[in-house]
Amino acid sequence: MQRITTGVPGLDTVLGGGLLRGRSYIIQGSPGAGKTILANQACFHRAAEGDQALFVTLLSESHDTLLQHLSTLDFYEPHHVPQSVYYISALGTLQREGLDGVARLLREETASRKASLLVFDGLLNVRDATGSAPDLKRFLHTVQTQAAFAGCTILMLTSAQLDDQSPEHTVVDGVIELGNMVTGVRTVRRLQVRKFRGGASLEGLHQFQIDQRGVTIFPRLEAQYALPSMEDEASSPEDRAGTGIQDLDAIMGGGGIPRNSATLVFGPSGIGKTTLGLHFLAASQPDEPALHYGFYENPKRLLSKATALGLDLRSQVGKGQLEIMWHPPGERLLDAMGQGLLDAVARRGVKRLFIDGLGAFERAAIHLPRLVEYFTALTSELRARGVTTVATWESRNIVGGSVETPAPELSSIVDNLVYMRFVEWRARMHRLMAVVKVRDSAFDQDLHHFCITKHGLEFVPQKDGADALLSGFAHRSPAAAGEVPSA
Amino acid sequence: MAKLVLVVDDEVLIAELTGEVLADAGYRVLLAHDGREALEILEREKPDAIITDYMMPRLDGLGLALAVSAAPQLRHLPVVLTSAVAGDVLERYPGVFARFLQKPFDLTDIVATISGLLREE
Repeated sequence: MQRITTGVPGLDTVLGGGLLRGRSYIIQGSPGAGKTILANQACFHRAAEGDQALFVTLLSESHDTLLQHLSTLDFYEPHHVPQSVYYISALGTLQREGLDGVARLLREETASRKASLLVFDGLLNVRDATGSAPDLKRFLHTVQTQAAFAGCTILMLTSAQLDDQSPEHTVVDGVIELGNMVTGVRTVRRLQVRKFRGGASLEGLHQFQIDQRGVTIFPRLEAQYALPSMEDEASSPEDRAGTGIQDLDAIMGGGGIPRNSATLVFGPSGIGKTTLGLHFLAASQPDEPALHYGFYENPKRLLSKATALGLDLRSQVGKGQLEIMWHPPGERLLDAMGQGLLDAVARRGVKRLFIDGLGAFERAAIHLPRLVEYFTALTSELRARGVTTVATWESRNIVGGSVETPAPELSSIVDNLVYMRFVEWRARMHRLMAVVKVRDSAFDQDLHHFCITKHGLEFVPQKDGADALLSGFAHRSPAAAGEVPSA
Repeated sequence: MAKLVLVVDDEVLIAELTGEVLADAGYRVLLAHDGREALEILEREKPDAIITDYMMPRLDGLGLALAVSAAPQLRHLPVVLTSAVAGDVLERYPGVFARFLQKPFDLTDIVATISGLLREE
């Protein structure tokens, strides 16, 4: 079946390629939900594709007010109106000739303009104008049949909260619902395809936003990438990406992190997780474009930090070898973050990725349980794209007697785990690191003492059993009578 | 007798409001909601001026104005085009429209435009 794209970012993905030609769809949502913008966006996209679009209203809002609003949005191209996007009102026809007249008007106008897309705004008024459900169904059937015959796709907009048993829903080929959910003190816009005949669509609630660009939909990442978009790039466990820290490479089994894998570095704030990530980025080779996807330091501060650690990221950025994407604090949409990340990876063919702060994803998640499927899909997709990922997770305890792990599911989703913590020893804080897991590989399971110097993250040669420090309540082990080496 | 103005707009509220403002200013008014209906009215009525929207079903404002200028008995009628998006129609069809009013227009402009046009006559 032939599809026509809507051009609304994300919507065609959700619909499995677009709307079906000659079929009719309802777009429903409360006033302000974004129906009119979405429909107009589709009209201007069809016009850009060389088609004709017809926008018919039964509403009292005047077209010039509508056009004034639209003209502030990026997709609005004035030269398409009235040549390719045409606005007419059917209210007068409805008043004089009833629904039969409206149906006739739609047929005539669709044919004379050779429209491939017809938007009919004001389905609620049709409901008000019909005396009965059979009348309403007859009108919809008529319009639908005419459209199918003309090969014109129809979007019918309504602010009514129609349910699945309504005459409207039973007749049309698809129903797209736009909603606005209140969660805590914020609201999140969500789109759901409630019905879609003749094709598979991505199920569930997809977040969307309305801004200068119009409507942008972010398909649920775990639905879109339930299966990775491509097959995994084959790599053997011996194929490694150096972390830029020789000692760390050694304890991970030699040579660094297995390529096309996801590594989680977890530990408290200030321990050196970002430093480890900066080493990893600085070690990127010309054939491995690198990306820093962070939430804490802005690019300027990050580069200064790298310089202070003896890492030359500035020239990496200058050469285009490294991109720094910084996301200042704010309310974010989880799927927008994932999509933005995958887009940035695709744009430059990124092979080395450092995500500083998976916690920001957790905070953006409205529904926490989905994070497991979300991270599973994200890491699988990154693996498939041949990306070696290092991500950080901040644990809450600075020091303490218990070993705090991130969510158990997260630990099992990633391939490799590196654990960092502080210990107190003789009125000083010391840093310890241990590799907890490496995919398909043997690794050094010892605890290692490290420090942060002007050369970055450096291991401190062990003279006594650092394992004694793991409890967080440091004590001299019987086997080691010497001092803990100072940094 | 008061001058007669034909107001053509598919948007019912705009047509009615324009008509009321003109009636308040002392004009007699006829309403049509598309170009074809306007031409039907012109077969039996003799208005002194036409105000028409551009985008309308069945026959648009340009089609109406071209039909008017092609008919010997109507071509003297001044046609005022109102539109939010007239595109390049004024340049492509010079002389077809007596005036152009950008939508949304000030209702006093409508009266001033019509009275100015009819005074010229």
